[in-house]
Amino acid sequence: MTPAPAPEAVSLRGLCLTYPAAGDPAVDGLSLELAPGTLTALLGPSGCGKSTTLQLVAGLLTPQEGDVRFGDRSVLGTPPERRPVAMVFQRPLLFPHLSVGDNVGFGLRMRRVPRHERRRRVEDMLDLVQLPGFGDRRAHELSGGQEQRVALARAMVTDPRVLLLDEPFSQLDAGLRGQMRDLLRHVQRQVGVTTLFVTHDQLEAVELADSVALMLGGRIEQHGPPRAFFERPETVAAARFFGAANIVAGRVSGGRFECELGELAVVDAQEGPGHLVARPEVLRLSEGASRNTVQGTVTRADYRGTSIAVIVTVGAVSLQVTVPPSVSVPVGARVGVHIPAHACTVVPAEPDDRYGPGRT
Amino acid sequence: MRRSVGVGVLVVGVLTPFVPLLVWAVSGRWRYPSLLPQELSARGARLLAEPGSQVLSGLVTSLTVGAAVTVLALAVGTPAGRALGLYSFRGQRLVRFVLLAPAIVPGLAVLLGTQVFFLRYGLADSVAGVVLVHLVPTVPYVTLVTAAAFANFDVGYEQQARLLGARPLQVLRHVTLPALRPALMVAASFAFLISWSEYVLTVLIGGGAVQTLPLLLFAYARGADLTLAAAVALLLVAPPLLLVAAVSRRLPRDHGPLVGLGRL
Repeated sequence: MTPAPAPEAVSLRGLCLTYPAAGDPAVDGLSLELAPGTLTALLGPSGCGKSTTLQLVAGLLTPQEGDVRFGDRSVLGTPPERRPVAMVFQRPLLFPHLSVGDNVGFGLRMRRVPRHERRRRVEDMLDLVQLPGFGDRRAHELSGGQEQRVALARAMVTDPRVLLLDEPFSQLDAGLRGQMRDLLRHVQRQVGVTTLFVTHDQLEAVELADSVALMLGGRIEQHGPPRAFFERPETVAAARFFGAANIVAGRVSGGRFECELGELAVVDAQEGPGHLVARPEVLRLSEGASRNTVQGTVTRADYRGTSIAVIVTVGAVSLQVTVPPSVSVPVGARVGVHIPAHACTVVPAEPDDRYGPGRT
Repeated sequence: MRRSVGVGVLVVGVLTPFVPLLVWAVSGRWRYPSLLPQELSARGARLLAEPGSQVLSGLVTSLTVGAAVTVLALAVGTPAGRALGLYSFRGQRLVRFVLLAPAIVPGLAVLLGTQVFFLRYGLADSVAGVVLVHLVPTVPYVTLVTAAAFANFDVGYEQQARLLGARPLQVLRHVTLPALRPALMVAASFAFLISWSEYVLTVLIGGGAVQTLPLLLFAYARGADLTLAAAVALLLVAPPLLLVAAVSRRLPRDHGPLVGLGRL
């Protein structure tokens, strides 16, 4: 393999883009920093602007405001073909009139790399994506997973400093998707290219990425290591997107959280109004009364195979608790729910209080 | 087997009308009621082969005009086809109608309005003027055919190519044109065939100074010498047949639906 160029830091600053026909901006003041050589997942529901963001980085779209910087240079004036980026789309988009080898070598040919060197690098790349000897096949002879691997090889062969992937595995079936994730991780570690990976699949983002940028409504809601989204969500929306089913409005005062459940001990909480966020799997059903335990009635118990999702109603609040499938929880039973202080987070209320004073 | 019989019937059906032409073209003396000419003659062939003959120069003019019209019609019609096929925009139906209007309205009607401009800009009685006026009936066909092809074209390929380092011209050459090759071949054939057999527009703008084959054929057909007329007619018919045969052989097998010019 030829030595890869140093990976580039990518910095997106205050990007705004509104499509001509649309009223709401697709990307609305988005800022994001990608450390060199890392794999960042840009996660969000469909329509949140994540593909648009990717196209802004690629140069297929130009922002109306803001800046895209690679290292310390702005690339706004640089057309896509001159940016050191490569992109893999959702569809493999292999050129149908070219062989697999010519597809992989396309970028090298555009850069007028001599034929023999092209050939060698194409072979290296096909080896890396575990398709050795596939160079002479036609694109239409490949399976979906193979096509996407060729697309990855084609993107990587030019030694890009930044690799962009737009839901590249979403059209593959589940088992294959896992394999492709492993392969991408392997290739990305080998080459160490700064990578931005768009996905709507929370699990895919967490499994694959060094860091996750959650995008909602055209901006970054939270950016950090995958673990942070489970353990320290920064906003109610981020917590909710990652499945924290229990979100209770209240106020922190003197290190204690006052809400409809009563007064609860919390850790590291900022004083003032906020929301208590607790994942269903950190809550415990308990018998007796103890610290941070509230009493309620079981109103529902849904068997989920590896667990049971129990709904406990405490006054006007419903708490969801995950228990092992061996535990028997009859509907109507009075139970205590233990809310461990160290496993919960209080998210301070935002100035405009987007989520209102209501409860969940 | 049945397919080849069908093709055979078709070929015979298309070619049979040319048999009398062929006979006329080589006949010397041919009186009623005999079925075949009493004498054969090479006069027709000589007319075509004679250096400096009117027919040869007509052939050259026709080929020149046809080639120029084909290139220009593709250059003008393909971008329009791209716009119509790829994008939806306000007033698209109107644009489509205006583009196609020359194919709907008789060329003569269009021409009477525009002839004054050809005269004013010195384009009348010139090959350039004839080429220009032939664009009127050809561009709509090129636009139609390429619009259909672009409607099935994924611009993702172009974006992908650019993100692999291809400059816009490289994208055109290495991605877009190869993908559209069948449609462009069909569109080019249409443009050439329409230009090749155009008569009225050539007469009016060329003013007799630009003598293409159809004009010569008309002149000979009005004369008494049917042998010469038949020879010119054959010359007029042969190139389009060869062209269609050549193009249809080079089209990919599954492009039959593309405006009917599939592989034979």
